Amino acid sequence: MTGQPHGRVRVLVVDDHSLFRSGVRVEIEPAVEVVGEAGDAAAAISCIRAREPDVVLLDVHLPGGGGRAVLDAVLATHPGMRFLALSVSDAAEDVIGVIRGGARGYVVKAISGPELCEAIQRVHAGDAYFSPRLAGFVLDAFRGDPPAPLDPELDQLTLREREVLRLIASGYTYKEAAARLHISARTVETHVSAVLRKLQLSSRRELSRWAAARNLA
Amino acid sequence: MNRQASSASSTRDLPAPPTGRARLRLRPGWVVLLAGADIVIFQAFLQMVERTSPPPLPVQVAMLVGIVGVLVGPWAYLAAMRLRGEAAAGRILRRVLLVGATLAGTGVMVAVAMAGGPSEKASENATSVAMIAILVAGLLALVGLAVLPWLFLLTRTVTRERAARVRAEERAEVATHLHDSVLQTLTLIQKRRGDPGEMARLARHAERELRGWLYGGSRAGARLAEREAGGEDDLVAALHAAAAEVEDRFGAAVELVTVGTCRLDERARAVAGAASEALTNAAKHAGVTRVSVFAEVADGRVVVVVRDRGRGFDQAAMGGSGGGRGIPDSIVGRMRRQGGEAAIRSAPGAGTEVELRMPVARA
Repeated sequence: MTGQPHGRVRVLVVDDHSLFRSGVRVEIEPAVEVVGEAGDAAAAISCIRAREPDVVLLDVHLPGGGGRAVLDAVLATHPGMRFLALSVSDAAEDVIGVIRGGARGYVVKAISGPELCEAIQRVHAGDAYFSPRLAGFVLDAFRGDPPAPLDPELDQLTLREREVLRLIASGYTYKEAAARLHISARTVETHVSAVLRKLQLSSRRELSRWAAARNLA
Repeated sequence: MNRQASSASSTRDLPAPPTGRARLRLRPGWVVLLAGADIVIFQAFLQMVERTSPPPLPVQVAMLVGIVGVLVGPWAYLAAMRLRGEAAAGRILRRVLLVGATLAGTGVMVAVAMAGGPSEKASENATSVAMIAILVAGLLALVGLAVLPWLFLLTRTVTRERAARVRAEERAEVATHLHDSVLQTLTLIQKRRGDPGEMARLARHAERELRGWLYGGSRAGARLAEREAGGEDDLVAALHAAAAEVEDRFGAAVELVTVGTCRLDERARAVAGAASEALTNAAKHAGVTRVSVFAEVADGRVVVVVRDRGRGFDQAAMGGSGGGRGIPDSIVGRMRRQGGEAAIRSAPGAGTEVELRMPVARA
C-alpha cells in the first residue's frame, strides 16, 4: 500500500513548537522514519504534497488556519492521506473537530513513545486510533437515544462498540480489550473503525455542535 | 461630482471612511456659527413678514425652506458623517428625510391650492399652512437627523467603553491566573531542579490547574473553586479532587476520563471514596507512573474503573481480600453498604483493575 519495501512507516511531523517536533523525532525515530517537519499550515500542506508521507502527525492548533486547514487542503488533493491528530487540548470540540475533518485518530501529547508508534502503525494500516480521552468524548456524544428522524445506522453505537470504547477509555490497549471481551484484536479494530466512521458521518446534535464550535462541521 | 460621491458613500455600507473629503467636512464650530446666523435671519424674516406687505407665496416658501434647511442641514450632515458606513443608520436617515420632504411638499401643495381662493383670508391661510408644514418638517428632520443620531452615538460610545473595560478586566484576570499558576510553578521548578520527582509533581499540578481553567469552562471553573473551598458538588469533581490528591502525594500521573456526572449524594460519595482508595492503592503499591480512571454515569448507574499495569497481586493468596491493602473495607465494604458492588481483578505481574458499580439518582 505504501510502496515502501521494508515497512518503516514514513511520518511527517507537523507542530508549531520545534522543541516538541524534535522531541517526537527522538521518541519515534528508530521505529518509524521521520521524512520531514513543518511548523505551520502552509508549510505542512506543501511538505505533505511534496513528500507524500504515509502518516501525518498533525497538531490541532497551528498557525495559518489550524489542523483543519491542512486536512481540508490535503484531503482535497490526496484523499487517501492518513492523519493522526495530536494536541494538548482537552476540549471536546478540538478533538471531535479534527476527527470530523478527516483525521483517523487522536492522541494527547503526553503519550509515550511506544504508544505513539503503535498509534502511527494503526493509522498507517488504515485503522483508527482512539486515546482514552477520545473514547470518553465519543461515549459522551452518543449517550442516550438519538433524535428520531436521523440515521440509526450512524447515530447510535452498538452494544459491542460501547463495550470496546469503555475499555479503551479505561486505559486498555486494543489487544487487552480483545482478550477481555474474548474476541480477536482484528475484531476490536473493526469496531473502532466503525465508530470512527460514525463519528465522521453521524449528524448527531452533540457532534455537530462540538464540531461547529471549532467551525469544523 | 464630489457631492455625489459623498452622498453615495454616506449611505453605503462602507466601514472604512473614504479619503479626500476633508475639504467637504464641516467643523462643529462652523455649524454653531451657521445656526446662530440662521436664527438671526429667521427673526428678520418674521419681522419682515409682519411689518411689510408679505411677498408672494413662492418667495415665502423658498425663504422658509432655505432657513429651515440651513438650520437643520449642518447638524444632520454632521450626524450623517459620523454614522456613515452604517447601513441601518443610512436607511433610517433616508426614510426620515423622505417623510420630512413629503410633509413639507404636501403642505406647500395644499397651500398653493388654497391660495387659489379669492379672498385675502385664503392667501393668508395658505401662507400659514405652508409655514407650519415646512416648520414641522424641519422639526422632524432636526429630531430624526440630528438629535436621535447624536443620542445614538452617545450611547454607543458608552457601550464601547464598557466593552473595552470588560476586555481589559478579562485580560487582567488571565494575567493574574497565569502569574499565580504557571509563573510561580516555573520559578519553583528552577529552584528545585535537583529533585526530579518534585519537579514532575509541580509541573503536573500546574498542568491540572491550567487545564481545569482552560477547558473546564465556567462550570468546571466553578467546580474548581468549590473544590478548593472543600465543597465538591458532583461525582466528577470529587474524582478530579481524588486524582489530584494522588498525583500530588505519590507522583503518579492519573489519566481520568469521565462520561456524564451526577450529584454527590451518599451513594456517589461512597463511589468517590472507594475510587480514591483504589487509586491510592495503585499509586502506592503497583509501582507504576500512570493509573487510568474511567467513570461513566448512564442509565441510572455509575461505573468507575481504576486500572494500573503494575505488579498486581495474587488474589487467591490474599484470600480474595487484598490483605492489608484496605480493599475489604474501604472498597468492597463501602460499596456494599450503599447497595453497590466492587469487583477486583488482579494477578501478579498483570496489573490491577478495580471496577465499582453503584445505582445512582438519575440526573
